[in-house]
Amino acid sequence: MKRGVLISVSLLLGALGLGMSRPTAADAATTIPQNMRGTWYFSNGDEDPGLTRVVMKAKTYDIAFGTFSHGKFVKKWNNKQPLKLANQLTVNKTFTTSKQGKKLILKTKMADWGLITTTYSMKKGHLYQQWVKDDSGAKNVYLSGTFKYSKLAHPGKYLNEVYKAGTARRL
Amino acid sequence: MTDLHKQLLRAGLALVTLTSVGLAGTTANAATKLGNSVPKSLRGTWYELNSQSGIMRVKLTAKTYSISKGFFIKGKWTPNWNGGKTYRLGKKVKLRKTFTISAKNNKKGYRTITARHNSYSYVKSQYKRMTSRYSKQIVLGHRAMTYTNKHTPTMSDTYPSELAPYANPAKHFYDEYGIGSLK
Repeated sequence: MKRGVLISVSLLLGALGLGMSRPTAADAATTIPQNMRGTWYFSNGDEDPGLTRVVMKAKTYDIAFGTFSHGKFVKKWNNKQPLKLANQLTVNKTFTTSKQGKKLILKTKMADWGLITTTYSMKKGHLYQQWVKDDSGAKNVYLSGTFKYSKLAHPGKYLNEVYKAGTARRL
Repeated sequence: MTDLHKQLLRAGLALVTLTSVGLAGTTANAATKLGNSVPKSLRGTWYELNSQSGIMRVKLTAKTYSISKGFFIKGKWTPNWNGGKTYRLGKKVKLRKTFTISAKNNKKGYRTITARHNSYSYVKSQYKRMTSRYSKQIVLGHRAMTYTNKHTPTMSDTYPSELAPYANPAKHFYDEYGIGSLK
């Protein structure tokens, strides 16, 4: 009887140990894949003109919305330092990653939005983004559309070209 | 010619001149016949969550219009775009000062508000009070199109969205989605 209990307890502990060691090992390994690294832009065609920019490096992640002033990107939303890859989420500081096939699952925690899970995938040289807002505290799930991000050689020029008439008149 | 005839002629002339003036006036801005106030059905404060840059807030009163995007931080509306700008109803669209509203609803029941948020473009936003496509709630249907100064639509935003009123918006967005923070 006692032996049975001991065996079951040890089995349980063993299972727990395995369960705990697995995710940490996986987390530490997942840097942002090579093909997703770089600076990506997306224009959502809103009343609010500007571009959403995502900058991904091996271990840093930066998402912001903004416009260009003298060729430089000026952040309007999320004017913060890039987030750093870590095993734990800290508000406005770190992000975590995992992989689902070829897709990258990226989690962030911002002071405004809270916990967000973003899925990134690549298709024909473009980065596709979809994000979900669902943490234990929230009742409702918010699922975004799928957004197509591109690498632009001259993003400032691109934004100006879209509003060509306005800039031509000012010059 | 009797006096009556003369009077009739005068009245007729006056009428003709009046109508011609009236016609000229209408033809000048026939395409954009403007309203004098925001219809009661559209008035109120409306919210929508549709972008990562925040919650969109539209505030409409009889003579004012304010549109901004942001979050409720510590229970307070904290805009990160177009914050604190309230436009007044005018006869012309002035950059971040006045807006115009169409006099009548279009075929689909939308009123058009024209405003300028920056020097290089202007926006035509269409609003309509309706029941939500997804729930039985009363919402403000919204669609918008951004134009350059040369009147060519640029980045189209034709997907219709819905803004809803909330008694306590800060609490609603915090409870339902865990966004922002409360007092």
